[in-house]
Amino acid sequence: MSNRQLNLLFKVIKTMMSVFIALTMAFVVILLVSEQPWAAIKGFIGGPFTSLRRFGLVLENALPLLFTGLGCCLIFSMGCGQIITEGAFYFAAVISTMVAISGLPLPGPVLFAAACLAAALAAAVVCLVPMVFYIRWEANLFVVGMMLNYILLNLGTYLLNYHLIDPSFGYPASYLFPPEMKPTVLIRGTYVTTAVFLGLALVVLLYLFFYRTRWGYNIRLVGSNPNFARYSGVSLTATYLIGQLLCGAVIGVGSACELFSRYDRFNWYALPGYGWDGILIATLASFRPQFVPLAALFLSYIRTGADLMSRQSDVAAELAPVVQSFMVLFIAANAFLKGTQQKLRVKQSRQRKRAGKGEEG
Amino acid sequence: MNDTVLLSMEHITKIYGNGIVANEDVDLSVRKGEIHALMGENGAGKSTLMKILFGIERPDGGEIWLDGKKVEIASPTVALGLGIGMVHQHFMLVPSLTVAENLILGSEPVKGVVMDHAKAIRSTREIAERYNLPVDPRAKVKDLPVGMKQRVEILKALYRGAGLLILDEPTAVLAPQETEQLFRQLKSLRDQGHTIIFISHKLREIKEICDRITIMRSGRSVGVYDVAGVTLKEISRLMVGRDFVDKIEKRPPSRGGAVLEAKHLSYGFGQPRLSLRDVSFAVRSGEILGIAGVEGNGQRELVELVSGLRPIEEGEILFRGKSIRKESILRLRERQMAHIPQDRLLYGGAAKSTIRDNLIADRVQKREYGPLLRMGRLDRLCGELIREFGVKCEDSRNTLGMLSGGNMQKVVAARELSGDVAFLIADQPSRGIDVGAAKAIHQKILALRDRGTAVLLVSADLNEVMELSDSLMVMYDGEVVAWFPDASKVEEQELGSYMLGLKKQSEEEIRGACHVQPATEPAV
Repeated sequence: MSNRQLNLLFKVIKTMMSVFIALTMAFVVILLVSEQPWAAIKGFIGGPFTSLRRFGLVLENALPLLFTGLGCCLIFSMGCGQIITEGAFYFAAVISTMVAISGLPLPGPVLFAAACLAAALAAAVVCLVPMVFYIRWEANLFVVGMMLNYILLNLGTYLLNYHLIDPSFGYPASYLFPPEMKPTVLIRGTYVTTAVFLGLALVVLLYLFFYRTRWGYNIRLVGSNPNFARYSGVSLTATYLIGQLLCGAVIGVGSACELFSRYDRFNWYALPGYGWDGILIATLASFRPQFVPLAALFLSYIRTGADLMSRQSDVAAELAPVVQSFMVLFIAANAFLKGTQQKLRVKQSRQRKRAGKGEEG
Repeated sequence: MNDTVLLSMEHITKIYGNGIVANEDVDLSVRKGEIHALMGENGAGKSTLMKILFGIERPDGGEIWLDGKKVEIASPTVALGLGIGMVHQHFMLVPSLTVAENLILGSEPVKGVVMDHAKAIRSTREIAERYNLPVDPRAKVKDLPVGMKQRVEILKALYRGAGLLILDEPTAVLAPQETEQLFRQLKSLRDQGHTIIFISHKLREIKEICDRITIMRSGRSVGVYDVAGVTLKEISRLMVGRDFVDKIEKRPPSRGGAVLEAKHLSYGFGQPRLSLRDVSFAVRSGEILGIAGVEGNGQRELVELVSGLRPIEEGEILFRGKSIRKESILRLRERQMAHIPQDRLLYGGAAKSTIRDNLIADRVQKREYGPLLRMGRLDRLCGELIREFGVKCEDSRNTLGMLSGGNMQKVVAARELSGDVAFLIADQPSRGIDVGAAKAIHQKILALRDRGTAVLLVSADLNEVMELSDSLMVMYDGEVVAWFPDASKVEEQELGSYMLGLKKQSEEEIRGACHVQPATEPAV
């Protein structure tokens, strides 16, 4: 086995071990708190597979994670971790609502496309702001993004309360989205819609972008060593702006898909939290777009399972964050299993040497 | 010197996280009161062995015996407690503190709760006197010349009671005169009963001061020899496994027009002193202009200005007849400028990226390969470069960080020396790499020069800069202090006095460096 394969193998083993340990911790918690632990564990692990509708829930919950995960892959790959994705996701929903209820005389699918486009543009512009601050004034990306999130939330709340709100409706929410613009439901009884295909298409596109285009290559290079990138002739400014713009666009489309798949009216009075989830997903996928669907599905499975369990047993759904945090802790911990890996390496290279000696004579 | 064995390292094995076997079953035996040389190509495992001895790295196997007792050296603190001191290649001193403060750092004498300054200065004086290594205890370390800093490092080890001193390539940063001084000091330390392990690449130095020599090759010890009993040729053969030619074979240069001209460059305004002062020169096509000088005399700033990494403050740089002030690095590269930087992990490459991505970093930016990357062409290019430059790697999808220093440098060189190059900046192109790899890189640079490339070579290695250059310039304290139209006619000692600022040529002589009429783009 070559050293590269060994490293790869260990990455896989490490991830699986992390999952295993996290699940074990969850079981321990269940055993401690539950009157009927077996029912709870069954609900948690098996729940999502008991019916098509329930499995649809997993898919449904995975979709927004997929989009924000992809967006975070872009910005984290260039070494610019930040949380503006949260505000971008929220604000894109506000803008796409404006388009959706504008009463434009467009056929449904075109209106949907227009709303997605507007959302993508809005989120891209939002994502640019902290980056411009960073490039121009070296302001901290994370802090600017965080502050901007609050501004966007308040701005969105204002727009909702004064411009989008439907006064004839029972609770505060926007006017109804035209039903003909909503994406087609694929699994009856769930909100799994044709938007899934859009998500999968974006995975493929981003994969190609990452590994088959100059800009994608430059984004990875800048993240790996910005000095080296500059020396190679890469414009850091241009790369940062492109990465940020694309991240925004992906997140914007995701936001619109989430909104029109699951809601009939816009009524978000708080940041949805998907920006944070995006970081989690991107980390699980080691910032590679091709692994994002898996990471999103897995996280969604844990959450959906926990949710189903809480409905059937006496354990609360808050178990999901416990599992989540243990997993991330172990996956992000670089030194986890390092000793074993080193021992294996020593053994391997001794064997290789011995084999090599035989050949050399 | 007697025959008592002070230190014996037996069957030491160390394998790094990247799978490189740095040491395999290495033995080292050092006698009390000798200067013991540790020699070998880069990547032979000398530094690793010494890091194990000083407790920086833990071995994966083997035993260390000191004074007849088996010891476990878990950390540098343990090593110091056992009387082992190390003088690193990159000094571990605090520049803003005084000599005395640096010396006592970590074992400060105290008066009540405050540090006893007077005592610190007194003990610095005492120890400096005892070992005949005079220093000014009140001087700030940052104001000291390199040789003096090294002396402080040695004193620091002695202050902590080191009887066994490890010196990791101590002469790499010194000018010839400073080296001589260091050698006198080391001999006197030996005569006072200290034992010294001396790591070096330089055969002549080892011949001069060492008693015995252990030679390492690809992670193993080849053998121990009495220095008096072996010739330089034998040592080099044992080291690289073939005869090492010190001379570089080359044809006389056929010079063309100026490709790069620097005019009255000054840099570093706002700092206590300018790092470049009124530097002017020209590099013509088909020649290698060498810049000799002790490091830190403005070479780094000059290289970064010429390559577009820093903005010009005062003066002008013309590349193929056009000012580079408004040119991006991308544009300079498109106009065929190449650059081997001195720091391969700062500018030269990305340790976390794959070897392949490192090899194609500049190609990706070019129109012929992108913007939708032509993967087939890039992969083929990558394979060719690995073969042509003899990069030793399992797989081009491994990360660059898995390679040894010499192989990393080959990756950098392969990228920069391939394709069309009108002007090449080679900044310490063979620093810290083995003779074989260095030779390969030298050959490639010469081949480019024979095809008409203008080369600016910056090197602190006298052998390299004297052998490879066609013309030679010396920099001292931010200025050009000497220019020699024919590098082969320069005496080493003479060069040394210019490098140390003892001598300076007249204005007219130096002005010779910017000789020719500027040539425009088509001339190249």
